[in-house]
Amino acid sequence: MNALDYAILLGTMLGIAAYAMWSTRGGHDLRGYLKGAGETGWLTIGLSVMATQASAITFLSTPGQGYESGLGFVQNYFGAPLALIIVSAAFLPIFRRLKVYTAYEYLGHRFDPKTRLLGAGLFLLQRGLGAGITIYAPAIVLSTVMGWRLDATIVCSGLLVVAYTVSGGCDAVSLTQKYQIGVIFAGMVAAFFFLLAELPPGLGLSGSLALAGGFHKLEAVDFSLNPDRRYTLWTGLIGGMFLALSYFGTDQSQVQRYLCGASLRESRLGLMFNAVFKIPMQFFILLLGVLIFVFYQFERQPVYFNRAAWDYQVAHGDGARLRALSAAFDAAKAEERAHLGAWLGARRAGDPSAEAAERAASASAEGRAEAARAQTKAALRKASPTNTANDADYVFITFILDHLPHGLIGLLVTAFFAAALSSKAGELNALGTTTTVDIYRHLARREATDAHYVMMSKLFTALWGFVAIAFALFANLAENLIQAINILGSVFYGVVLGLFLVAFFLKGVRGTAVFWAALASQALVFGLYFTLTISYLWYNIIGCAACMALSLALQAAINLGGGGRTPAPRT
Amino acid sequence: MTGPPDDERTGLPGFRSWRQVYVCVLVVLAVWIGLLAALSRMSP
Repeated sequence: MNALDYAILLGTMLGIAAYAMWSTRGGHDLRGYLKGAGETGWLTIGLSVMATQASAITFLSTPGQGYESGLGFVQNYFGAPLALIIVSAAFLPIFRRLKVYTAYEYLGHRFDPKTRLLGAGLFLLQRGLGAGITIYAPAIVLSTVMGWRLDATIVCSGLLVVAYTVSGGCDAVSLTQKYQIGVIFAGMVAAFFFLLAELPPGLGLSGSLALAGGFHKLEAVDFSLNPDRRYTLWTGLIGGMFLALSYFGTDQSQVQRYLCGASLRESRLGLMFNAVFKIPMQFFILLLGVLIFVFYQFERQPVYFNRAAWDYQVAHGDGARLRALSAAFDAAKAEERAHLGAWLGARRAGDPSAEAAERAASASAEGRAEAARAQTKAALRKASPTNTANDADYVFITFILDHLPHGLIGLLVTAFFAAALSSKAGELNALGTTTTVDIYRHLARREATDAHYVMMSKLFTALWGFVAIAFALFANLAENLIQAINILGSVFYGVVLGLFLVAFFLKGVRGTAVFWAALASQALVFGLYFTLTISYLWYNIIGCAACMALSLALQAAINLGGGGRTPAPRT
Repeated sequence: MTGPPDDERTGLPGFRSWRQVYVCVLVVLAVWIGLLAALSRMSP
C-alpha cells in the first residue's frame, strides 16, 4: 500500500465515523438513542440489515471459497428469503405494536420475566463470548498480509467503532452502515470490472464461465438428497431457513436494525430488500472468486497464498520438501497454461474437437497442481498445528495486492475495514441495548430518568466494546478458542428460535412450561453436541423442535395438574 | 368500499397488500434458483 491507499483508507473510515458523530450529536432520550429518531427509511434499514450480517470475513473469505469450491456455497442463502417473509409477516408487527426495544422484552410480555431473562441471557452469552471475533478475524488476515502490528490493527479499529457507536447510538450505527456498505459495493464492483479487463484477450465473461464450468466451478445448485453433502438445495432451503429465522427474527443485532424504521412499512420494505438482494449479492462475491480462479489459470500463482506462514516454514521447517512441492505445482500450472492457451486458440478457430482435447489435458494438469497444493497445505498444517487459518482467506487479498493498481488497493482494504466495523457496530449496539433494557432496567433499577438509562446504555456499549477488543487481543494466543466459541454460538440459536416460535404460534403455552422446556432443550442440544458428529446446522432444527414439543408436553402436564388456568396475555 | 388498513398498505405501485409482495419475493427466489440451476449446467 502506498500513500494514496492509506489516504483513502484513513480518510474514508475517519470521515464516515466523524460525519455520523456530527450528524447524531446532541442529547438523546432513551427511545432516540436505542431506536433512532423514528425517521429511518427502508433503504437505510435494508442496507443496515445487510451490513450487520456481512462481516469483513464475508468479503475476504467468500471469494476464496469461490476460487476453491465454486458457487455451491450460495445455496446456504436460499432459505433467507423465506425466513425474512416470516419475520416481516409474523414477528415484526408484534414487536412494533408492543413498542419493544429488544426482542426479549417481547418474551416478557408474552410469558414472564424469567423467560425474558433466559432469552436475553442466551443472546448476551452467545454474542458476548464471540464479541472479539468480528474484529480479530479480519485483523489477523490484514495484518499478516500487510505486515501491520496485529494489536495496533485491533485496537485502532476497535476504538473507532466504540467511539461512534457510543456517541450516536442506533442512528449513528444505521448511518455509518449505509455509507460503509456503499464503500464495500464500490470496491467489489471495481475489483470485478478490473478483473474482467485483465483476463486474456478474447476470453471475456462468457469464455471465463465456459472455462470455469470445465473445472466444475459453476455447480451452484445441487439437487442431491445425500445427507453427507454440505451444500444442497434442500439443506439451503430448510436448514438455511431455520438459521436465517433464528438470526433475523431473534438476534437483537438484527432486530434492532429493523425496529429503527419510521413505520411498519419502512421496516418491512427493508427486510424485503434483503430477501430479494441477499442471494445475488452472495452469488456476485462467489463469482468474483470464480473469476479469480480463471485469472490464475493464465497467471503465475503461489502454491500457498498465506505467504507469511509459507516463508516462516520454509525458513524454519522442512524447506526442501516445501520447495519441491512448489516446483511440482509450478510445473503442473505451466503445463496447464499451455493447454489453456491452445484451448483458447481452438475456441477462437471454432474447432470443437481440439477444444475438448485441450480442456481435458488442462484439467489433468490442474488435478496434479491441486494435489501438490493439498500436500503443501497438509505439510504446513502438520508443521504448525495451532495455525487453523484457512488459506482460502488469503486468496482475494493476495490478488488485490499483487494485481490491482494503487487507489483500488486502498478502496478494497477500506471495504474490508468498513465491513468489519459495520457488523461490529450492530453487535455492540445490540449488546448495550439488551444489557440496559433487559438486565439493568429490569433487575437493578426499574425507575430512573431517560438520561440515566441513556448514560448506562452508553456505558454498557463501551464496556462490551472493550471486552471485544480485549478478547481480540487475547485470541491471538488461542485460535482454537475462536472455533470453540463459534460452535458454542451455533448450538444456542435453535432453542432461542424455539422460544419465539412458541410465543408466536402456540398460544396455549405459558411461561413456566416454555422456560423449563427451553432449559431442557438446551441441555439436550449440548448432550447431542458432545455425542454426535452431525453438522452444526441440524442443532438449529433439533433445538427449536425440542423446545416447541417439550413446551406443549409440559403445558399439557401443567394443565392436567390444574395449574394452567391463567389466560395467556394478549400479544 | 374501504381500502386495506394502514398496516397492510405497501405504498408500492401494483402491490395492494403485503401478501402480494411476499408472493413476488417467492417468485424472485424461484427465478434465482432456476437461473443458478441453468448456470450449473454449463459444467460438462
